Amino acid sequence: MAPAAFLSSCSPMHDDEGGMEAVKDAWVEVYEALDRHLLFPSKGKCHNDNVQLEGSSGRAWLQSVVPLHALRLLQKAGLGSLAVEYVADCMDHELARVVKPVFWEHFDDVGTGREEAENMTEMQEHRRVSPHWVIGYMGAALSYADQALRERRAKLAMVAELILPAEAGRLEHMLRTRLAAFIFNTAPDEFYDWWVAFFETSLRAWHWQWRRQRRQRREGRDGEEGSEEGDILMSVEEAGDAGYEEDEEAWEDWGVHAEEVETALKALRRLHWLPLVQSTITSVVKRETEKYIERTCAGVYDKPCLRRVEAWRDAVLMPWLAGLLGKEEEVGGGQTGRGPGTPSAPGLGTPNAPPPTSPFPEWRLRHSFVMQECFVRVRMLEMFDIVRDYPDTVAAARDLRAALEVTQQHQQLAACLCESMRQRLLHVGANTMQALRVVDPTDALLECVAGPLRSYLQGRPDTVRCIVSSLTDDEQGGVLYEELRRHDAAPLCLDEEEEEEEEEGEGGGGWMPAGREGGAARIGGDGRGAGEGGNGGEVLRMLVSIYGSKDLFAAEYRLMLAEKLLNSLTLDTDRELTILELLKLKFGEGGALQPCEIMLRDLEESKRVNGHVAQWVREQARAPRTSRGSVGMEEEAGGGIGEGEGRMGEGGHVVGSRGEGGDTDRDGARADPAREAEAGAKDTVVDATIISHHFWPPLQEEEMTLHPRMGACLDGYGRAYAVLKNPRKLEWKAHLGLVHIELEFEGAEGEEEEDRKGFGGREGLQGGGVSSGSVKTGSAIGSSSEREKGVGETGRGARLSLKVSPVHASLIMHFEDRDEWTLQELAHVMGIDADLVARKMAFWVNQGVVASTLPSSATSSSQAQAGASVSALLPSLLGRPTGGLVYRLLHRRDQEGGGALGRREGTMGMEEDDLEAAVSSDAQEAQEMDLYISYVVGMLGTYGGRSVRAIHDTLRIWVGGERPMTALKLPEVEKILNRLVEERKVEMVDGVYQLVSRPAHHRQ
Amino acid sequence: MKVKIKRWHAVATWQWDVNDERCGICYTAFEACCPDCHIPGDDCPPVWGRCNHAFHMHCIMKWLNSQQNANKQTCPACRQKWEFRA
Repeated sequence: MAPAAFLSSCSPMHDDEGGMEAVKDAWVEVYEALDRHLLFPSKGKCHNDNVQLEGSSGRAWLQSVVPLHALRLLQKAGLGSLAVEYVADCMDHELARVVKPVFWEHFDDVGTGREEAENMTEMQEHRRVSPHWVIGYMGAALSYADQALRERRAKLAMVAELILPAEAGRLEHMLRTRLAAFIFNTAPDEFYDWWVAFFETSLRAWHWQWRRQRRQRREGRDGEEGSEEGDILMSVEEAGDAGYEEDEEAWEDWGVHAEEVETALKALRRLHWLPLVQSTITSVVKRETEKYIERTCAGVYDKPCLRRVEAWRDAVLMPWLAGLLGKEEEVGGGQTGRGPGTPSAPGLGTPNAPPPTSPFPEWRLRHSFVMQECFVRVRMLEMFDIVRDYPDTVAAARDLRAALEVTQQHQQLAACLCESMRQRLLHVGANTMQALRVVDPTDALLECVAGPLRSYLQGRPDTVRCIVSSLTDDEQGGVLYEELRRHDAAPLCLDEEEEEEEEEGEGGGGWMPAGREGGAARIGGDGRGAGEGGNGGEVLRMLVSIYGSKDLFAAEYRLMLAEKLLNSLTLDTDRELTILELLKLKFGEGGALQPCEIMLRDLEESKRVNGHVAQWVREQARAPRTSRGSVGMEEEAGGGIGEGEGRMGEGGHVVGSRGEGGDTDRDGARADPAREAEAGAKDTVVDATIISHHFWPPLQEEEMTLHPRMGACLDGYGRAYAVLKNPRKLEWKAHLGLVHIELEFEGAEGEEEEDRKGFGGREGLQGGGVSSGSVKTGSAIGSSSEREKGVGETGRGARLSLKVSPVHASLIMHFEDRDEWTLQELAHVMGIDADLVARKMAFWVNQGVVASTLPSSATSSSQAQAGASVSALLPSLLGRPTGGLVYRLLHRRDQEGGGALGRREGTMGMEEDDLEAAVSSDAQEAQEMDLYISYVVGMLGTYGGRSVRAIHDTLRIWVGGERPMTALKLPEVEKILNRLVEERKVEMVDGVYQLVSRPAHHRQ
Repeated sequence: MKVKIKRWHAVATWQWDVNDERCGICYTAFEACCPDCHIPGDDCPPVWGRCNHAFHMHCIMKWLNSQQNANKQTCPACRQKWEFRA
């Protein structure tokens, strides 16, 4: 602003013409003096440029150059500030016209460097590799700016102090602000990148120095390595080092830059620009933290990482920040404080306790948050792995939980986890739930991820079974089972804790309302305190809510229970009863568990009936009676059994296991043949599981004919039942159940021959009915003598004791009658498919009891061709028409491999693939489907054509009330209809389904 | 070789020796129980009338009790006079 303008603007205030003139003159004088000596010294007569501009000497110099009288006049006129403002204005102009361009000139090379770089990516690559490239430019520019500002501020200060001491501070501040404004307003876009690079470099440099110092300290401290302090320090050092290993060779660079950085930082502080770049610092801190976490924590689940990051922060990051920002306040007067290059002692000395004198509580807080957020972000992507490897990742899960408590990022975590679950396979199991619970004890997270879990779990047919087995498996101590036991008193639908009672008290200690820490504490391993279990039932609740219905679990449990009970030999139900009771507490009475109760009752009942039947049979045997029923068939069969009993007698130790068996046997031996036969037939080798089939899941139906001897066993039992439980009768599910048989091979050649003859004779007589049976087994004396002989030979004989399915038993029994059977013959006698026979026979072949051969090689088949070699052959044989396959009993089994047999005895069991599920959910589904189909067909018959929706609605009304059919969804109805369309029972015209107009269907 | 059955755990379903599959009143199977019962078997047996029609005992009792005239109790299936078969 020109001085004339000042004067004219001032003039109206002064009406005194003369005074006005004087003031004008004074102003011109002052202004010229300022111009000449201070502002533009080169223009006027020179004054010493090197004059010390600061302090009192500067003031004295100024007083010497500025005409004081004129100044006084001005001040008297109240215009002293004019001079000051004039100076300020000039400085301002200089900043804009001179300092700003020069400042940016420092970065010209950066620009050319960028142009030289072929493209941006290369540029970015360059930056990434050496983030400190900019430090030189930055340092120079900052130093220049600082210097320029300082000079100008000093000039201004001199004038101000001379004329308007009160204003000095304000003016200086203004000048500084103006410069910052000029610079930052004209900053190119990259300016902030440079800042980022600058601060990164600064941090690295600081870290380098920290490291160097620490090394020195360590060298001096080698002796006390084992001390506790040393350990702590070591862990912190580790934390500090971690993640920078790959920078090892760059360390020296950092050292070089440390000086530059320090200079630049000093300038920066004096310029008071730090607040302006605070956001940059924040982002640098954030980025570094992120990098550190990624480098040190990613993939490390087995130990707590958060603490490590914290140690790093306290040891490295915070001291750096303190050095960077902490001195700023002190710097106000342009003093240099301790640079960041001289880390404060607390940062090193007590590294894992945050420096208590830290002046940045807010920075610390902010950083904690940033850190935890980063941590969560890193972990979030790994959540799936954490869940997958759960028991090993407790540490990580707990870390995550601690971080989440701060950041409340559950939402993102859930979303992220959902995503990865969708993408990856889910590891089924309660562990998922458990892991998530550690992360978030409130289960909110569980609820969030329930969505994808739900759809996934629903998509997997085996999960319900998994869950239910976990729930009921006490042997392996399933987690859910533990929960079931612990929280038995918490009904599933009521989550109010008041409803819970400490009923079982297994956990011992007093009941406490479930604390939030429960999940973690329990994982912590101190076990099953009742208080900690408060969350437990919730997993189940969660699981149930995933499936939307308790019935599903109950139904699955019913299936499993059925299978278990059917395969149970002991008919013991205690364990199941306990579990069922527990389940009932969870799932509520009635509903789908009602049938389970009946199933268990059936077993109890069966046990009673078995007892009664056994007793009845014994009584019958003692008090002879005229036999009922079709005598001929029975007696022949009975003969077989009688003989079997005789055999049982031989192995006396076997009989011992079952007292009444022995009784019967003795009775039989004394009694007349017919009675013996009958008694034998009805002997209680049979334990029946008598089921109320309406309450059991659908059993697998399979038609087959048992070996007559076996059939006779069942008939005997059935008759007893019919008598005892009149008017009830039994219908055998011949293919189900388990038979414990013992195969006895003859030890001696001679005996074998003899037996063969016996067999042969019997075979010949097979058609003969009654007579043949009585011939063979009728002579009690004969059989008893044979028995004694058998006992004598036991040492040389071999026994094979096995538990097999009735089909297997039946098959092998046929070999007792005849040594050789073709596949077709077997299929015929058994009344089952040849394929099935072949499959089942594979078991006996594998057991080395039977050899399978093709008829052509039948004669040449040596007895050595047994066991594995044959079974290896079998598949290829099965590939061909199997009709010609011949099975041949290996009589010499004992001699070749008595030892092997002995071994096998230990491992009695069935082949895996022979263990077909007695009950299956498929069958159940099919059954329900059939029900629906009948409804649909009936409906269409009654109402004519209907739309899917109408059919669905009606179905729901019809079927809805009874069973879980409320779950019937529209798509399922469509599926049913489509199936009917495919079967050509129904046709669809214009969206309306109707029966295909054939009279046959209208009847339905 | 001899085979002997040491023990046989067999499976069977029990049935009432009835001609019909279902009770004509509640229309559930005889082996299942009537709607008022939970446990099948002896607790909820079928009974026969002289007309040879069988019903759940509980079902027919309910029916008979609902009949206005105690002297004219009829079989719900054939309308003959209902008498329990001995």
